[in-house]
Amino acid sequence: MKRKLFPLWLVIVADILLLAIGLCTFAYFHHIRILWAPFDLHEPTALEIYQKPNKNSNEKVLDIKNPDDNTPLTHGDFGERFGSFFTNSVTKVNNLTKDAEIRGFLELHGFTVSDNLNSKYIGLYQSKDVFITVEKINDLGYVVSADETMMETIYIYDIYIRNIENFYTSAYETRTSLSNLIKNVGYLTNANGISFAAGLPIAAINGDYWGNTNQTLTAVRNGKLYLETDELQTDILVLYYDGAMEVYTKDTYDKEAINQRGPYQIWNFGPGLLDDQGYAIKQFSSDFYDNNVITTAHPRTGIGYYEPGHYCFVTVEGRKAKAQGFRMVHLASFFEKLGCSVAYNMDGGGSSQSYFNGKILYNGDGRHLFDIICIGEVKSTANTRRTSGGNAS
Amino acid sequence: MKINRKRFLEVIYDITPHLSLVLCLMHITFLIVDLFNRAMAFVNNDITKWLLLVSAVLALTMCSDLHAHADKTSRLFRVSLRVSVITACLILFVFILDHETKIINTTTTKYMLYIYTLNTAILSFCGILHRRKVYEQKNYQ
Repeated sequence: MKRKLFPLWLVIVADILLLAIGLCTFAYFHHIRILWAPFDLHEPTALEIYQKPNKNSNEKVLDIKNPDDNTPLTHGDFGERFGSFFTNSVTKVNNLTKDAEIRGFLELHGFTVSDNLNSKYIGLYQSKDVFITVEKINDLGYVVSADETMMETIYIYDIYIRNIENFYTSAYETRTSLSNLIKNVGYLTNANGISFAAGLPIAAINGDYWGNTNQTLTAVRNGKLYLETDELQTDILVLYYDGAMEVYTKDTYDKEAINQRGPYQIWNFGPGLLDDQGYAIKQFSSDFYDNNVITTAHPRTGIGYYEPGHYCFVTVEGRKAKAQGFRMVHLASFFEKLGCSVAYNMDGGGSSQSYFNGKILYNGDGRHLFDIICIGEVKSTANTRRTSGGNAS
Repeated sequence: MKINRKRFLEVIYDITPHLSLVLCLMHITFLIVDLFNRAMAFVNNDITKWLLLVSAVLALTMCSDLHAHADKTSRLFRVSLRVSVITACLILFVFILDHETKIINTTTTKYMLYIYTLNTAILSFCGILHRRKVYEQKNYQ
């Protein structure tokens, strides 16, 4: 029996169509389904909740909503260290938005005031637990290196907190808008052992986009373990309950040691931006971070650490005519100039977004996010914190 | 229902070069994208690893058909056939040895993948032409 053969060109076209279908199917499973469908965030067991060390059983957290609380104001994890930054009354909150007012306030109280001619303060929030100033640099000739200037818009949050619980994260299993994440803070807190509830954050930035499980291999949120790995591919940032922040590379990663010390938050994006002496890293490995991310100017988000209780957030606008964004080395040297001892790059590009006190400062390209990092007031909901070492929400 | 073994094998041999070509082209796409954006893990993910396993099995099936006619063909074709068989066997061996295939991240394995995908893609195209030739001869007879 004779068999009819299709023309060769038709066979080639059919194969190309088959290839296109194959690639589309792969794309669906590899990056669409993984982003839009809830990924497997297993509910943590009691053992997977890292407990805060109980250093002082007499210590008590003030309740911002309870004016009768007259606990001495030196309480808290970092209260003694930064007592002068906070208000001396549980009900008193200073909330300023004008540059001149903020500068006057800072000078009056003996705080350092920025002398950058291109910067202006756009927000100050001071309560008994939280002190934040937000500075906006708008510089059309920002010197990024000895022989190069760029047009930049940068937001710097200088943050002091009384308790580690004032530094918390809000995360979703699927992507949602920044405003939804802000409104729904505490989504991940409905598990055992929770003794705190968080209100709306005062300040927030995007996190590490942890729903991208191709890249995010380890994740601890508010003391609870969600993802864990024996081997790292990219740098991680660990915030411990004692307020210390440390960056671990795949060479320095020691899972057991980290778990033993009690991680409060672990982010997995990176890279880390400063070396052990606090100097900017000049060269970043392209083993896992691709060259475009490292060498091209993009919007950026980073976290800096000075000492326990004192942190900073930096958001850099980009991909605009008058806001070009930073290369990774620029972000590193920016944190070096700020005087941070540890700094870490979070997800950037369209994910780079920031918020302060009811206002979205920078919305990136409006991309939906999985998680945000917040600074805000927390309220004790039980007297269990110092006995059981509760977790922030 | 009685299955005609010869007819069944013919259908298998007809389909495998097409599927093998498509899978190899997919892998070439992944390898190229991975050069520019490694963070998206186009190569280092479970789906690609399983596709690679399927591709290796298809390549071996196709090679078994081509091998019967290899004696009449050029030396280059015979070398290409051997390379494809060896690399496909290596891929299967790695899968059996290390199911999580952490080895796939190593530079050596990447080079092996480049060789395997390029070589097998060309061989698959030869396979398609070969099957056409077989039918043309049958039709002529």
